[in-house]
Amino acid sequence: MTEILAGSASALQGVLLAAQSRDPFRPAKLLHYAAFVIIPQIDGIPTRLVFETNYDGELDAHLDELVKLAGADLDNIYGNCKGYPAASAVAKPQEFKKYLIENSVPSTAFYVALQGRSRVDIDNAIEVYNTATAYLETLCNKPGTSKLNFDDVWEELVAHFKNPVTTPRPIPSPVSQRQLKWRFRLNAVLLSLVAIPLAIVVLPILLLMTRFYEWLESGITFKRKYPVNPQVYEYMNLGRQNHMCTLATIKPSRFRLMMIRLGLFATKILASKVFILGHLDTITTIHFARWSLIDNDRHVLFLTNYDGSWSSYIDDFSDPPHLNGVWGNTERFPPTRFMLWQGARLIQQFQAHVVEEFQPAYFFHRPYGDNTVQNLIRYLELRDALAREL
Amino acid sequence: MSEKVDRKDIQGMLASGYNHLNYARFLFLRVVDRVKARAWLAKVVDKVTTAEYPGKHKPGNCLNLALTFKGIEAMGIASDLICGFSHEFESRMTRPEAAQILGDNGPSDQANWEFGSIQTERDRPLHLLALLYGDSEDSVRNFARACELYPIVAANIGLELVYRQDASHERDDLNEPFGFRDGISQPAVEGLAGKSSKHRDLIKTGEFVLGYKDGKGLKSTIASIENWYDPEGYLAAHPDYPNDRRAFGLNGSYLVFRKLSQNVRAFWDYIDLQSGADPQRRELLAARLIGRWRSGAPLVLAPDNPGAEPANDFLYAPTDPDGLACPIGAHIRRANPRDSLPNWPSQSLATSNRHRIIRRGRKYLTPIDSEGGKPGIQDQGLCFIALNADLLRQFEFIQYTWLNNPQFNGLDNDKDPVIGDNDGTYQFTVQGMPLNCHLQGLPRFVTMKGGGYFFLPGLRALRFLANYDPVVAAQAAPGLTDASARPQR
Repeated sequence: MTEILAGSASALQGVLLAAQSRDPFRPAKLLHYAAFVIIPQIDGIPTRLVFETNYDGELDAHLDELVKLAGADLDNIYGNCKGYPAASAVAKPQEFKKYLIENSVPSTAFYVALQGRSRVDIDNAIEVYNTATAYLETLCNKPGTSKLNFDDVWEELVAHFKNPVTTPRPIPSPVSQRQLKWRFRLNAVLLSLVAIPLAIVVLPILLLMTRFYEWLESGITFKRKYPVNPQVYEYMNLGRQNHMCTLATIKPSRFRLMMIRLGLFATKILASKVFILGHLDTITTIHFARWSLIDNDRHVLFLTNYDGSWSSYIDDFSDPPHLNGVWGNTERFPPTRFMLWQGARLIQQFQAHVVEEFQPAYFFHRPYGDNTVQNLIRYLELRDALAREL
Repeated sequence: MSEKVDRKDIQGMLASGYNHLNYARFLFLRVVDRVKARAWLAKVVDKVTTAEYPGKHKPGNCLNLALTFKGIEAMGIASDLICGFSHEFESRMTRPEAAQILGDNGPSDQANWEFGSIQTERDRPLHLLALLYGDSEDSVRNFARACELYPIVAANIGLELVYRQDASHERDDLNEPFGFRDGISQPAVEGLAGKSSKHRDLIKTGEFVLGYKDGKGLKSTIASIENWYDPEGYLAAHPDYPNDRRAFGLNGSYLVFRKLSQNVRAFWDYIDLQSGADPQRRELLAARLIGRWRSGAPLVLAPDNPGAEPANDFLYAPTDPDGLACPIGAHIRRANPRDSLPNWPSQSLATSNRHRIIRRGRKYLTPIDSEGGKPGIQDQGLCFIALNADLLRQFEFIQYTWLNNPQFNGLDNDKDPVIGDNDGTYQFTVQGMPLNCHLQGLPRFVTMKGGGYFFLPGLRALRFLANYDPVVAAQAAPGLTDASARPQR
């Protein structure tokens, strides 16, 4: 997160849109999703640029790749930001990397749908799936196919990939959905052993305390901190995959800060240990999501990318109580009751609130075409099964 | 316990499709003189059919009235006085992101629309939609005359005709232009449906009518105005702000109108090409695209029997989870996936029921306009009309997330084979044992010709509009009201 030079925000928006039309990150091999978002002035803190990347491996190698592919673009972009060593991405990459690292913000909680899957791994699965379907299509047109059963077809497919001329080769992956399922079961059991007794003791107290604060806050009208971006609806519906960034203010009390920390801690544990099968609770469309407490814990920045329009399945999305557990502690969120009830479940109010806080991504790199999380899981499963056979 | 539904205040088309009336006329009107237009509305409002029908008698003519957001303003209610309409309604079917959501691209691009596009809105804006129904063209004509809308929409009623669309069908002809029985799957609305409706089909009133609880026990936002502007008390008090605001939107619904032209020839040419013109394969393939035989019998219940009776009481998960009878991407399985979405069947059914619409479409047919020439068809299709409480969650969701989504329900690159915005690059997958087969290069069969988002107000709201007097309202209002005190949308 870097501060934008005074008066440079609109020029920067133009630079980002120009970069978007070429997308210099396209050839990247270590990068999943990436986005640039301009967030408005809030509580006296000037306009800032957020650069979000989801990458494989070491940070240094990731930054090297960015510099190699888009040095000039990064210089153009960061030329509008405070304290940037001019033209360093091209001329002095070490300084550029130092600048980015110094300005980096850790995620308080992080979710990835396809855990343990690198970009190379996913690309290979997509290619193998396409090759397999093309081959099966030729099989379809051969006489006598209707007499085959599933096992015969599978053998045909394996034989096709055993043929050394077939490309791409299915590469073995360090993880498989089968392993992940076992890990999920084990983690779910272990976590419940710890969490259930803890929840029985602590949760009632927290709910009651939250109710007290809900009552206390019901008389306060929290003012809107920045105007609604006029392009919000367009940027919510960019294509088959979309980016969402929201900037919220934590309600001004120590209790609320403690609760959001607790909510994000629970999210962090659940996202990394339990929701590892391609869905975050009931939400099956999110690729990556991250929550960061910023500005000395005054604000929470949320960044995510997901399949479909932002309103798709918002019904299902707003059902789990976790949303309230985190965002119920922020200003202007639809009022909750005993923390878990109402809030996001008041769907139209919740939607209107998201519109208020939404920040458009003027640059959005999406690497997997239109493929959804759920389709990628199917492709990975097929490829993993073929790799095992070989 | 179901809520008490105020049928007297709800317009009739929410309760009935008036299927006993064969002829419909849709008049798109522009308000040129709001004072005269209000006087006209005051005269016709008593002719508006309410949901008390279907009661004992079936009226020989029916009239319903709907307005666009601009239309409400054109009648004299400044847009900043009224709040609580949805973003989609206020910013219309032509807003920048709508083309992508609705699939209005290529030949369906609004540059090609006959009415309702940004281009035509400049000098021919849509304000009011009058839906007139009758037994025959004569009956509708006479009824229109009684409503002062025939032979011409004269200036003395303050309205101007922007576009006229007639739609008719022969008695008992319920097929849409491709030749399939239409309108079988309709949600039964609690409080409006007949008693015979099965529990599974019964959908909460609030999914379609504003002011009632929906499937989640919530109520969609009701558009409202401050008390001052309704000194005579035509409107009911707003349930959430009974002392300050009046509920303009109560008992109303959002109405979607889309004139959809159907290329019947291209459809059957494509089927012939893919089926090798073998009559049996041809029928089966066409049925697979739709999900029903021509008779309306669903493939799930009658996989081998084209002549079976139309039926709607079925699910997918118990008998056809893999799409072997009715393909996953078939039109009816996309428009209402019932229990076949990728989660538990009961959860899927609940999700599907949150995205239902009432369809009140009628087919239209424009003959070739030539004197003494060969009779023929110039254009035919469907005047698609949908009613729902939340355009975003219901109509637009179905269009974007189900019909036009290439990755719908685990498919790879398939859009709705019949009404999707296909352009030759998408496929149709027929699930099979042991292999799926794919039909490639689907062209577009259905093209959007024009339409818009309307609001179908309750009768009290229509009477309020008809009697609204900005001057009297301004006198009644105690000076400038504090804008910040208004409830948020």
